[in-house]
Amino acid sequence: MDSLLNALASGLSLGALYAVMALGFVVIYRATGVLNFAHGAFLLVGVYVASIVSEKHGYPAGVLAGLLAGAVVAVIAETVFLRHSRTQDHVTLTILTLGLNLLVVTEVSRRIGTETLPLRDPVGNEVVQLGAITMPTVRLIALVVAMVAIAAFLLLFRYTNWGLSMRVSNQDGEVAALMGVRLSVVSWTSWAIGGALAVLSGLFLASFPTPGVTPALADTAFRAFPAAVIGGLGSVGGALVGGVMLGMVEAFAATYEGSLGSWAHNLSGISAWVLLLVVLLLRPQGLFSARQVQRV
Amino acid sequence: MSSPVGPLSRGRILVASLLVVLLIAPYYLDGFWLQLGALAMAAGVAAIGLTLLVGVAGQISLAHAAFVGLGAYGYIVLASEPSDLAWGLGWPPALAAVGGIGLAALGGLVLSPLSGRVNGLYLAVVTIGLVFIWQHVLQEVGGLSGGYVGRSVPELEIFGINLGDTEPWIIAQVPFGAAEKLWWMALLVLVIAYVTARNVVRGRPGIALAMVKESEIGASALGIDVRRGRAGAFFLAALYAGAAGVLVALATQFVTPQGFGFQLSTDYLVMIIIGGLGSVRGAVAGAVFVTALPRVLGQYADQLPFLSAVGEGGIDANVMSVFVYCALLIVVIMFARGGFDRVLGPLVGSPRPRMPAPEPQPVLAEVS
Repeated sequence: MDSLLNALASGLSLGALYAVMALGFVVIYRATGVLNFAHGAFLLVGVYVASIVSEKHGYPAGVLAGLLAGAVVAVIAETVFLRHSRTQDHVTLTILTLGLNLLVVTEVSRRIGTETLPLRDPVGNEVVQLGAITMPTVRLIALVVAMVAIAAFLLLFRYTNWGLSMRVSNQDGEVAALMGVRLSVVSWTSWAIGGALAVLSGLFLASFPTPGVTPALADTAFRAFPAAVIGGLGSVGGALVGGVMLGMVEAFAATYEGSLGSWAHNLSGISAWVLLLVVLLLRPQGLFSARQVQRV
Repeated sequence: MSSPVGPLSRGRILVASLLVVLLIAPYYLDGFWLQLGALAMAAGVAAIGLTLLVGVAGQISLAHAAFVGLGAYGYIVLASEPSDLAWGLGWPPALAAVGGIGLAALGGLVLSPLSGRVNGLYLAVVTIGLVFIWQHVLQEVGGLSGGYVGRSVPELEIFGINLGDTEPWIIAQVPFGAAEKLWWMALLVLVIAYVTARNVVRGRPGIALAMVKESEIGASALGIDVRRGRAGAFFLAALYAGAAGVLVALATQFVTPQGFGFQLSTDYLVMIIIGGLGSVRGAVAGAVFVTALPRVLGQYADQLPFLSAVGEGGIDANVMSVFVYCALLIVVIMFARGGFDRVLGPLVGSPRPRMPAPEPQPVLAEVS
């Protein structure tokens, strides 16, 4: 029973972090139609900068610098590379982000080397006890921060002019442009938000119980891919549900893989992908996206 | 562009002389270049398969490395003698090579409905999953991958003719070992793969797939079975990957799971993009470039002032080549659609200049 509650709690926290990251994918996908494979690069740059800055100026400054760095890198990716490509084919642009990712991750990994950079967060490796549940304090904070970030995003998306132009331009870019929506602004702000959200979840994923900043963090971003896709790529709600689902499955797999026998060893590492495979075989467009109807 | 296509056109003469050069090359090259050549040709085979799937059918797959690995490990398991640590079935090597390719093709067939149902970007994500699941299987199943020890690759033998180092041939007083024989073997496979792919692209299936890529609805209105076409392309790509996998295993003589991970999948995509998406000869050119670059830079690292040794934290040969080919990828996508294929086209005076690339879509009007 205790392990069940613990799995639930850690699944919820992990899921919230995945949801934040998946939200970033979805925002970028909605704004530009590109599946952003460079998400891991944004995350790694941000967390790396956070670690460097926090050494001299303390943790809060590090976090701010990291979020900013993630946003700036994302904006550069959009304004310099994607916007000026001759082809606007989404599949090709997606491969472009894959190349950007490889380039940036290679460079940052080279700088990090074989070390593990500390993030110097003040909470460290403390653990909280809530009834039967024991979890790292950082993960509890992560859950709260992730929920605040998601709520803030949803409010922005629903009630501000930016959110409106975002939704409108996703619906029909041409008409939106004619109505005075500046598509270029919509797309670079979306990328900035996507980059910052990636770093936000990255900061927590690099904290306790993870030892610190290593190049492997970039791969963690890949784990959030299924979250965005399970829900249906264009769907904001889908990303949230997908993220939580994924976190839960992973936490449960991690808790119970030991008792399932030897075949399940390290199952939690791939549970996300297995879930994705099953979901897409049953529903090729994801859980929440509307069936595509095309007019000829 | 419109050079004559007679039996003695410039293109044919160039291709024929290239083939002759490649045939006699093993007389002059040493081990390093022979292995490089075999690996490059193997990558060429894999890249041709991928360009059929991505370039012609328009489906992104990042699982290509997994299928290459399936071919490689399939061959090893089938051909090895069983031991305590690792599985082996002890088949005759020639049969095992066919079995390895068959295994990859079977994997492709089993997963092809995925490509039929799931389209475009969704498939890209699912196939990343396949690579990670494959890596997981390799890491967990010691009998397959040999655990931490890795697995050595048995020598190939076809109809009693040894293609390894145990029975070197002496031709014109030059001993021909595994490396030389493998070079020819890889060349043969590459030529077969190339010709088959050209026929697929130019024949009915290629035209049908290009139509599917342009417009799914349009294609199905013309009576093309969209799902079947896409699934077929996925199967074919897996088949090519399997053949490449057997060659890679034979060329490296020793395999570890890390060799067939996500990075390799990315490399294959880079190859076909810088080669010119959808172009068969471009895929081969891209494969040669991406395969050769890190190895050649590594070989001459001590003579190149801007490179540092691996592990010193500076820019070593591997990092440098990632920089170069990623930059090339970005440049090709951003400015130069067609990649190497655009360069190769005029050179051989091709009767078919390049693949029908979709016109860039008109930029949406922006009101500011």
